[in-house]
Amino acid sequence: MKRDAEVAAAWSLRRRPRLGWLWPLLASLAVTQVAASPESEVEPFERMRQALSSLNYSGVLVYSHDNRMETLRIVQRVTNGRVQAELESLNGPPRGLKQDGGQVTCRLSGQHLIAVAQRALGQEGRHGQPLKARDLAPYYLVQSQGQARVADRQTQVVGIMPTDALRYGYRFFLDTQTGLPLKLDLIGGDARTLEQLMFTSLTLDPEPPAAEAEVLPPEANDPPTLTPTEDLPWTFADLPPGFELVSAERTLDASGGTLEHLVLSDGLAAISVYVEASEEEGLQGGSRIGAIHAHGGKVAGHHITVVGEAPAATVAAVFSAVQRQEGGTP
Amino acid sequence: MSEQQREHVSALADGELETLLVGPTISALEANADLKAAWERYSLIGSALRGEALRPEYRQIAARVSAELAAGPIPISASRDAHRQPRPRAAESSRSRRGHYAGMALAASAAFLAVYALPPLFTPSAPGSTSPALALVTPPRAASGATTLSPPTSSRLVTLTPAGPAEGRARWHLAAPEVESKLDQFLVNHQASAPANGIKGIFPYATVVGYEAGR
Repeated sequence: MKRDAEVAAAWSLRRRPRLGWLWPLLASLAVTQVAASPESEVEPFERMRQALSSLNYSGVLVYSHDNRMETLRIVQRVTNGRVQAELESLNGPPRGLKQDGGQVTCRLSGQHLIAVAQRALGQEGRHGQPLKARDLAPYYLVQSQGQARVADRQTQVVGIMPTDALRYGYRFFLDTQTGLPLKLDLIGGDARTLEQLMFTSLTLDPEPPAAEAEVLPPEANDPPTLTPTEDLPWTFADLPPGFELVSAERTLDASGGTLEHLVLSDGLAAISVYVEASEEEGLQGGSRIGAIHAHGGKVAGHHITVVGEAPAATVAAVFSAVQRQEGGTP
Repeated sequence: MSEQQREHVSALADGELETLLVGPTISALEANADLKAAWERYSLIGSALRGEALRPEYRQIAARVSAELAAGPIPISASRDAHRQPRPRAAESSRSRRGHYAGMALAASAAFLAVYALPPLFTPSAPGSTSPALALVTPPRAASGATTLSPPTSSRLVTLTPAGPAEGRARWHLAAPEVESKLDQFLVNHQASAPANGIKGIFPYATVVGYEAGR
């Protein structure tokens, strides 16, 4: 069975992690763990949260992936606590994204125009609480890794290193003055940098752009219904360690079919499971965009698509864990 | 800025740089304004040679560098080379690979592009044409009567326009455009609803917007 093979492939990684010896070494080389000293307990996440929710800035970002580099323009302004941000690709086909408060609208290549609601700041924890560094144990080590210069500014480097190969690590370069992340490294299971996002120029507190015409969105589909987990018709047989279901909602997809969206998290990494009752075409097997992996297929007459910023084996393992639960609300 | 660094930046723009050199080259870009200016020029010329629509921001970036030079305090020091005539990236990378004459021929082609082809491409888009600029959207109404599980704010997956087949390249490396569209929607919704993504601000979306399959 293909599904059995996927399970075996996924868990073989867990049994025999690649370069497993590297993790103890990394831990021993850790410069200073954030939790080790009370003064450094000034939460890096809290600093980032404050910066992201209060700063006006503009700049140019480079995004490095697969030995390629893309350039993006970024602008953020905050008015009375309402964050408005724009992201626009400067090369390749025109693509852009705009965040206005809790609404995100995204235009990708071609005719895509997608609007979703953004999760609010301060709800980053698994259970909707502010995320704390100590919440990430035992699956991540949060470390202070010294200082570095990015975009002509001094930064404090905070590493969030995974303790196994089932999740990615992150290295945040936080502006010493403001706490704004100026660079973000995505670290793979073999401690290799998979992707980088970095400001090459940054201007803080720029002049606000000219007012734009405000356009009301078209009538949205029915709002999602948040489903109590005990009523879910879906369960997970054997999830990768640390991952648990943190939210579930039911809504309609673009064609009017029922769509269930389940979110799993280990405290930092998140994996979405989309369940479609319709017979529409969907992803079969694995695919990826950069370090984001997806895996899809049929389970109990439904199409399941799993998407997340996690290694392919982890995403495949989550797909393999999905099971239809008898007696759940259909 | 050494010639070797310039070639590495050129190769990076083409997606042809060896893996081991990517990190050092990005670090060099970070620290060297000359290289940064070269990167802008290479991106511009590369887009023109590929026949892609050019964004006026390319010119704005260069103009801003010049303006900041004249104005005084400079966040990122501008390059001496920023005022030089842009040297065609394609010509430079080809010079080492194909020889001097091929490089001259490409340089002549790029000069032709600069004089005759680029100006119309820089013309601002006509109203109604495809543009990444997005209209402001008012925040969604609160979902009334929803049973709260844990996060008070939930995601909503809404397609404002029918998701048609994606133009251009297959971002997900799939043959089915409809599946690509669906995965893009799932991904954007995922980034908006993933719990810890909140602390990264708009950064997670840079992956979605910035990613482009190999040219």
